[in-house]
Amino acid sequence: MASATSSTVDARPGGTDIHLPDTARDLVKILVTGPFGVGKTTLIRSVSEIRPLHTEEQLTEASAQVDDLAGVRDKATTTVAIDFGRISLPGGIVLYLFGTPGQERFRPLWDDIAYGALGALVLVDARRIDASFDVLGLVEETGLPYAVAFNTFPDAPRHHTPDQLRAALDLEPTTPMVTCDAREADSSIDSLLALVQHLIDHRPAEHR
Amino acid sequence: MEAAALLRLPVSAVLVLAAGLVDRDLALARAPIPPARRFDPDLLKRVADGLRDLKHR
Repeated sequence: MASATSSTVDARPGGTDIHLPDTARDLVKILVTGPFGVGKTTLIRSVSEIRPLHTEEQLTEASAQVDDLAGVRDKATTTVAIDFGRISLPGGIVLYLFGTPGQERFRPLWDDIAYGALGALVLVDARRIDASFDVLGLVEETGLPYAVAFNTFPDAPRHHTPDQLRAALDLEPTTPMVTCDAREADSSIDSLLALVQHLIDHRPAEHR
Repeated sequence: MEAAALLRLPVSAVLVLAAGLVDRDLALARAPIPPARRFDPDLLKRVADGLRDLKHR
């Protein structure tokens, strides 16, 4: 698949100051991913100091024929919606959150967007565990460290134990697994903290 | 991406503009932290501390 050809973006600046101070020194990035509709945008909106900016990228099939007897034929395109938010942290750190779709067909997007990311927060819907396998596979292939957060929905089954959920997702014992309410800022921050703490605790040996 | 969203321009167009500004020394291109640095324990700790501070005071 060819990479994005063009995109338009829609900005809805919020009430807070949208410009970064000149003292911003460290730009860090965390991907927020998960199956469609799991709450990525909700979580980013809960914690972002700016209204989540929304960009739509067009992915074009490179192999599609442009000409045929009838004239120009439509290329196969997929529109990829990416939301991103920003959190300014003390000490000049700016954390960007990229809401990244987890479907297999967006793999080319992941190659670019995962570059330089600290890790990924994978949101999971306990009602649709099967829908998470694609994205977990993508994250693991990218080699990004990740944490799993179960976004709680009112009708989620309550009889699954954490061990059952961990087994259902086939997670490593060291992968953090937390629950969160993506609508709540503190809960969302706790999920991000679970990821960051995991990064601190499990750095590769040569980087200690 | 922020500039593109706020200017309501395609991201690709803003990239071309930004490249032009950098060529004329009117803008600085700053890369994201290099892959090796994402394991910097001090940076990670500062991120964690910063996030904790954000929680409902």
